[in-house]
Amino acid sequence: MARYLFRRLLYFVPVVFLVTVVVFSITMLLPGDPALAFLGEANMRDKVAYETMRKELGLDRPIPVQYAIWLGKAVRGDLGRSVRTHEAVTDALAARLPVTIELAVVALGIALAIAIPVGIISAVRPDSWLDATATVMAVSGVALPEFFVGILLIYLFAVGLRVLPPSGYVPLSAGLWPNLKSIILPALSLGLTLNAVTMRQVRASLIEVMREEYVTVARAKGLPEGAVIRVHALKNAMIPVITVIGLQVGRLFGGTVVVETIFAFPGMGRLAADSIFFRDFPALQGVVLVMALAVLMCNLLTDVLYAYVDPRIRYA
Amino acid sequence: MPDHMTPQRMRRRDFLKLSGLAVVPLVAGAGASWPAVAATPAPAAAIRRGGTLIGAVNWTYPTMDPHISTMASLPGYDAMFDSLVRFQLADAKTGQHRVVGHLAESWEQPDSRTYVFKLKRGVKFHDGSLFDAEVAKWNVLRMRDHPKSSRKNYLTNVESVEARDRYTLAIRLNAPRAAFLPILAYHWAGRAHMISKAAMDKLGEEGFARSPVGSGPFKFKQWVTDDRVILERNPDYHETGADGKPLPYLDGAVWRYIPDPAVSLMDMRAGTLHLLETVAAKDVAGIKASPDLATFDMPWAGQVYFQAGFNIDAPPFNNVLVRRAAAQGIDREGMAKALGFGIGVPHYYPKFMSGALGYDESLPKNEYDPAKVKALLNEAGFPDGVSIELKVIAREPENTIGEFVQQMWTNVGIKTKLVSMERLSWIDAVRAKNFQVCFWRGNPGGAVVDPDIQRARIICGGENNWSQFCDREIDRLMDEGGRTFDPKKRHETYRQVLRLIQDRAYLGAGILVPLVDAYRREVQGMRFDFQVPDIRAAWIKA
Amino acid sequence: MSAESSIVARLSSRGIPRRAGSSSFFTRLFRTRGSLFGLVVLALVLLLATIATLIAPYNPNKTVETILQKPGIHNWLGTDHLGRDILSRLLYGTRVAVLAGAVSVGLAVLLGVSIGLMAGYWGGWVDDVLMRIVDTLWAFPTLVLALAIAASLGPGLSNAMVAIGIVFTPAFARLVRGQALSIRERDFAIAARALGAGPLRMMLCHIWPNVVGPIIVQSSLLIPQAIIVEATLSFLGLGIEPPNPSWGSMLRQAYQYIERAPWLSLFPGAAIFITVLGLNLLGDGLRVALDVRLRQRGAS
Repeated sequence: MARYLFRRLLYFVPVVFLVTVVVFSITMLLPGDPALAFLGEANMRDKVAYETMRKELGLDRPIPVQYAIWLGKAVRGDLGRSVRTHEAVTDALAARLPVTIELAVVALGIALAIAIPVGIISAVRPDSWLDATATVMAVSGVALPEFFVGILLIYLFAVGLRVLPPSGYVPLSAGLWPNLKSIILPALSLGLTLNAVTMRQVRASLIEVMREEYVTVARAKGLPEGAVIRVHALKNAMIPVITVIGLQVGRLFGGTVVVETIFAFPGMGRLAADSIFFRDFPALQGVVLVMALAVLMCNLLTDVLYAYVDPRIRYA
Repeated sequence: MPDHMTPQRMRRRDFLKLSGLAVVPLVAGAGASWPAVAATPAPAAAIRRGGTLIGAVNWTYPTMDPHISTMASLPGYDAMFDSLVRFQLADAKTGQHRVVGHLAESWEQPDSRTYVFKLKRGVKFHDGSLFDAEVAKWNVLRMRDHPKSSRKNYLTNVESVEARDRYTLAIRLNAPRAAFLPILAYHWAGRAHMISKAAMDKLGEEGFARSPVGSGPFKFKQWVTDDRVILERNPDYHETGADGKPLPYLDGAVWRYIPDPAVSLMDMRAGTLHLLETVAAKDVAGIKASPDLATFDMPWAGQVYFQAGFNIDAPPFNNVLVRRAAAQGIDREGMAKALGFGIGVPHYYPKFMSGALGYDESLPKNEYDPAKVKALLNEAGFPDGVSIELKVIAREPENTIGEFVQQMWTNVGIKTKLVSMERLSWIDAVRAKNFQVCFWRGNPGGAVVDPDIQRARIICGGENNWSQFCDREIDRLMDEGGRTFDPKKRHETYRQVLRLIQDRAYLGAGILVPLVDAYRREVQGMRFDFQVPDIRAAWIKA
Repeated sequence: MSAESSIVARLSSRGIPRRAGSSSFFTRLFRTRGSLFGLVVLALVLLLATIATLIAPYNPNKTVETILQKPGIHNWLGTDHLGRDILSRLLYGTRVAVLAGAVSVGLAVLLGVSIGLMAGYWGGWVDDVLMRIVDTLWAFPTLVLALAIAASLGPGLSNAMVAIGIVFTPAFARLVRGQALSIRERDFAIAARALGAGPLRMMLCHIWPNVVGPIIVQSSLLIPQAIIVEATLSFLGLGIEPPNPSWGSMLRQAYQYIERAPWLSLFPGAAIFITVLGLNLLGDGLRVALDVRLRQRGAS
């Protein structure tokens, strides 16, 4: 086990390094001058401000030098200062990460709350109309773009029924109930899109597990079907499900971009999008780096968890 | 004839009448719809103190430092910072405003180049430091000299600033400039927000940018970047309300940034917003029809949908006939129908508008005339029409406007290809003169304030002259108009400028869509400083 | 081998308990209602995309009527905010959907399969290097990476398709690599190599046939996702260039009018919904049908 862990970590390091290179290159590849972005349409021909910004951003140096400077500062925890909002990037990330994490966790919770029961039902009665309906329901979640689902939800619950706020994040410090009310619609928009893959995996692995011998033995012993599922099958079936969830983190973060924009949440996804369009290089590099590292960590944890549970993997 | 044109001495009595508390009498004019406010201030008993106003702004705050901010017209700044002078609407029909004193109570002009301001006494900043002429002087110089100041281009002819005594500030220009006072008031020019020097010294640039200190009716409480700015009442504010106690009536204000206009509208409908800045044209009718909502219509702050700039140094628009053809190929009536949603009106004169000096409807309109377009193209040597590229920013409403224009011009023989570019790439291309024709949404309101404010948009090499057209004769006329004080002469000079712009068709204009802000009917006492919501005397009915 | 590839291998090789009786591939496929629906949708979409230019009543990019007309005699599905016929735009949008799906996934297959085959076949340091690159791409959140690439290339459908293709590449690369690795160790593969089969022959004759099934399944699941991503890129200002229609950009312009003119959102929304749902169900069905086929051949 320790050897497996060591090997995985060994692979982790060069990937992290490559990630920093890609993050930096992406920002360099974006056409358009970040100094101009700061000036905006109104002052695009202001020469003095332009020159000042270019120097401040260090854009007058060769690219590898810029990369080295950025990386050097980053490992020391200094991700620079946002061109767009003047705040330190680390402060910006610290403020936005909890918002996105809360959104992601609640979205995941919703997705699981739908996917697991639906998956179980489908697995228990495969090929029946129940299975078909359940599958269609789960897959429907993926069938509309998040921005549209978001707008429909706002229109229905906020404008029509007036039970939930249309937009805006209310932090936990202002109360648990207001916080939940503000987060339920965006989490729903995000969670519905994760359904399909998770549900498929629940169904598939549960079916497989139920064919295993120990389940047959349990049935032979006279255990009722419900207990068979609960006690024996579910636990083992959940492992691949957990790993599948872990692997969807990338999609989860991607979804936050749109959902946070629609619902006006000050989160990581929106910061990424705003930074791209504004060419706010320091912020963009910071936020994409953190996101990528988070995804990598989740992947690593997933691999380790899976290897722990399924010894065959370790020796592959 | 606008009052602010003549050098004037304002007496204390006049100041009280014009600024502060007296609500401007309602003048119902075409296109202007004001809330039903009584001509006299509301009786003290009716005003209800307390509550928090929640407003939605249409752009994210770049910084809390008003001198550096490129969006100084966002309402939060005026709530936190007073300025030397500000605007008051003089005539709702024509949209003319007058400059009235704020932190500068009165002023004199001993000669054409010098302004002597008498400053208000007893004004304290939120950190307790006093506002006096030294602080004012430091502020003006900072606006002029700071390399990242967004105001500096309008203060280039400030030669010297002197604190003559504790409450007297003298500003001397290097040349007479009739527009100087309006510039100090206009948010899109050189609005003279006064910030606390003591705070800047203590916090430094970056610190102040996140923790501002002004003297305004509201104090800064918190800035959640990209989300909201939270302000709280300044209990020591130097203006008094109708009930004899200091303004503001509100306990606080929250300015939220909601990126998607469809969502902010839903917030308005759901009742979670009191004020919505810049309602899209298509939503105005719906809001007016709603019983809980009302609108402020501000035609003088309107936008010209489709302000076209031709690149006069590249074919085919280096040929004035082709430019005129394109200008006359703009179907304004059709645009008003398709994009105006009942509130957009045809606009014929780029950079100018009704209420501005120099505006004259007898000047050539470059009206829509497909036959003329064909004839002009023929004359220019393009009997089969001409093919051009129209560069547009890839966002709404520019996309929709572009799609309309593409069809419109193609129908009259100017085959247009729409090139949708990301904002930054567009700015790059336009800056590098890499375009044939581009367009943006223009704000001719500056001309109403004073045509000299449009200077940077019209002269050769002007910072805001995006299409970078250059005409020495226009430059000469702009210089002349800027230096003269006689309104009659100025009107004639700017009229010439407009005539040249039209004859030589450097620019094209489509429709004018007035700026409309929406608010909930419980909100009373809202005022507007040209186009910026002024909430110092606002209160919320129970 | 990582958890990912193990799971992918499982997903593509297990589905439903084996049933006794005749199970030809197509019977199996058509028996499931979901995949039948999906096939019908696919056929319909392909048909409409092919004949769109012939049957569209108006030019999709021209204003033909007053704006925001309800569905009626002249315009069966109504007109949009610029007075263009929605039916025509919807039909032309079908072509874009097919293109966006096919080209972007096609690109991903091309890149991913090449990388996966090379990594899986040669193993060793080739595998290490290639998979590190794939892992790096995989580490970026899907939409953020697509957004960054599309922003670098500029607005436009072809740029969006390239961006989506690059973002989908890791999925195929890992799929193929996993399969290639497992097949490499089988008896028949060792025997073939012993007989002198070169790498190309190995890849084409032995690895590819086993890999083609999962690739088709994966494609049928990613094509609808490509349609959704194109819609989202449109929402953010990239994606297809105006005035050309795609279902996604139509939806993006339409949702601002949701109170006033709900039919504007209804039709492109329904088109996306049905297509994505159908293709996903088809993918599920394909996986099941292929699984049984594989098992019958004893190659699992």
